[in-house]
Amino acid sequence: MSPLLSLRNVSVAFGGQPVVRDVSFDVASREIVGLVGESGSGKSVTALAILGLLPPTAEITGEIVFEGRDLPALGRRQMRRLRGAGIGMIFQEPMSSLNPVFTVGDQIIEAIRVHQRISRRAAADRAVELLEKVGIPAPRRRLEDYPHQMSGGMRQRVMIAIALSCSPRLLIADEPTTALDVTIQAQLLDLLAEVREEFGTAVVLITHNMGVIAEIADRVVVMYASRVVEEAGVFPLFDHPRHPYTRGLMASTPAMDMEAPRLVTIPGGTPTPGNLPPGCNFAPRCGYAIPPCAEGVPPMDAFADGQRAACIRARELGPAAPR
Amino acid sequence: MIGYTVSRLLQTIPILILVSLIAFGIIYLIPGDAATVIGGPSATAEDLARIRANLGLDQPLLAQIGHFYVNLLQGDLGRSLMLGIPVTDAVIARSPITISIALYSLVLTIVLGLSTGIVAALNHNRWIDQAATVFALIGVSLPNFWLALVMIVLFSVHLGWLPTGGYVPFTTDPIGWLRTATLPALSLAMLQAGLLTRITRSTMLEVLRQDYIRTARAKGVPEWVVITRHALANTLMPVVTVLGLILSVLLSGSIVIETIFNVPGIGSLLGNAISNRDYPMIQGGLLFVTAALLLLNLVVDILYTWLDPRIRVGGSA
Ligand SMILES: Nc1ncnc2c1ncn2[C@@H]1O[C@H](COP(=O)(O)OP(=O)(O)OP(=O)(O)O)[C@@H](O)[C@H]1O
Ligand SMILES: [Mg+2]
Repeated sequence: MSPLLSLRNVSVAFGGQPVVRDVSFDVASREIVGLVGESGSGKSVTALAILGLLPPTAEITGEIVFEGRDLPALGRRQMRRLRGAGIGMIFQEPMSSLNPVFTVGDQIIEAIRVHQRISRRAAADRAVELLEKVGIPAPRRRLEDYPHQMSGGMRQRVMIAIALSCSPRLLIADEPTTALDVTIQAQLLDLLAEVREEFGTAVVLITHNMGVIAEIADRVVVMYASRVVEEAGVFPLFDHPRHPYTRGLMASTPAMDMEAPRLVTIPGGTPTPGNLPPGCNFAPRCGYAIPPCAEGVPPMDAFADGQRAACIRARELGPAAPR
Repeated sequence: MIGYTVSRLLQTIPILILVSLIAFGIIYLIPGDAATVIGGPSATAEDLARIRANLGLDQPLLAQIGHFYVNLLQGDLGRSLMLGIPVTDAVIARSPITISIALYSLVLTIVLGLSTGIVAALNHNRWIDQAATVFALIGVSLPNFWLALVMIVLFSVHLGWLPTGGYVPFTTDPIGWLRTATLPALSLAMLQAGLLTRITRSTMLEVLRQDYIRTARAKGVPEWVVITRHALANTLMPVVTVLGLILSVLLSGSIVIETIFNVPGIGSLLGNAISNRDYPMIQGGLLFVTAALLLLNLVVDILYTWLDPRIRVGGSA
């Protein structure tokens, strides 16, 4: 069966400066794919590229195929129809992602009525259902609330309700819980898992947090400095990461809890897009680096179990020992 | 909300008192003896005594102040030296003229400023944006009296489209009003429109960068709805706060403009009062204009709290 979403050699540049390079991965129906990587590795840009929400200054190349259609080639109108209806998106900043001058109800109803020809009243009923689904108490009354009257967790639930309002096949969640406290994080992750169970929605979950990945992802794509460095099922990845960067990530996650700090404990800092080292981007920070690492960008090496890693020494080093 | 309105109302009281004191004190700011200055070189001793008695200058200071306020509270601002009628009557007769021109000018300011600002923001860094920025700069930097003269030369003298001055009340002849009020209103509006263009443009650019705009797009909302509904609502909010300021400047600018266009409003009344040393008139006109400005700003502030749900509804979670 062909995947729901498929990225092939997607690159994005701003003013000639690439910030996402040769990114390829698939998302199957009903699958939760985690997209992890340090700050600035290009996760959000990749997500926004899928929905065509990057500013006009972005130069996008490669294929982004969703349900058989190449998205960058779609007209503005078709792309707009797809947003919200085919692919929903939740953002990192619940405090600023809702329009402060409209009620929460208005904003959900708008999302529904943009894609469906139904009356305001019917849309309001649907909005109440959605708010109930995402766990907001007394939903009918909350329709009249303005965003500033709600907590961050509540607002993020509203964002999820908006994203789900037209039953999209794919939900892109860009660090949906980073700004929230731990108990709320756990509740929202449960909610995402429920959504997948109940509606069969596939999810691309972007996060810094390996704990979150362990909790709900089926498969993981690891990005480092604008490129994908490893891709694997969640069990193989946690069991035996093959790319030295992923090994580092695992080592820097103290336990699989959700209070894990940002992934910054690998020695050295992420190179900025304008300052990439030659060859493997990770080589300067890598404990396993050898001279050939600086000679060319390592190709993706596919292993028998479907795991893929972009490291010339992956086979030689073998799977990392389970921790 | 109501608490805010009340406290805002109370705040205006000390300002009014201060302004009225200044108005009262104007007469003492004249170097030398006010009566001599008013009477001019040919005034006789009787003339001077009459002028002093008329102005109440022959009484003790405290009594003068007391008198001033008692009269003020009754709406009595004294009698104009030059017109010989009560100042209040003169002000009431002239104010509709100034107010109608100021409002017309405000409408022009808003239409010109908002539309130019929005179009500029939507075409950020393109030639339209640059043209709008130049327009705003010209509007902001040219003195409005100079602009008024240029417009008279261009539209009245050369093209002959509009009269060079004068005034026809709206209630007598709306078309005539439009013909006489357009140039004064436009020359007043240009400066403020330039200012409003800048504010609108930068606010709109800022709003377009906000996360909720991205959310609206991610919902599949058509781009024109994103602009006219989501972006505009948030752009107008800060713009409303400067409306009070804009109106204030429009009103004070009218003193010069009305004189140039020979419009018999409060502005030219005050202008004439100043050149004729008609102190009661100056006092009254000044008080009236300041009170009007305070009131306007009050209305705008209250309007703003009512527009912004974050203030209107209050209570964050
Ligand atoms: N509109 C833009 N114009 C220019 N550069 C941009 C733009 N948006 C993102 N970038 C650059 O692209 C790079 C990747 O950014 P991106 O937001 O995708 O990182 P991220 O992986 O999502 O990081 P984080 O975890 O902090 O959200 C960064 O270096 C960023 O500065
Ligand atoms: Mg990001």
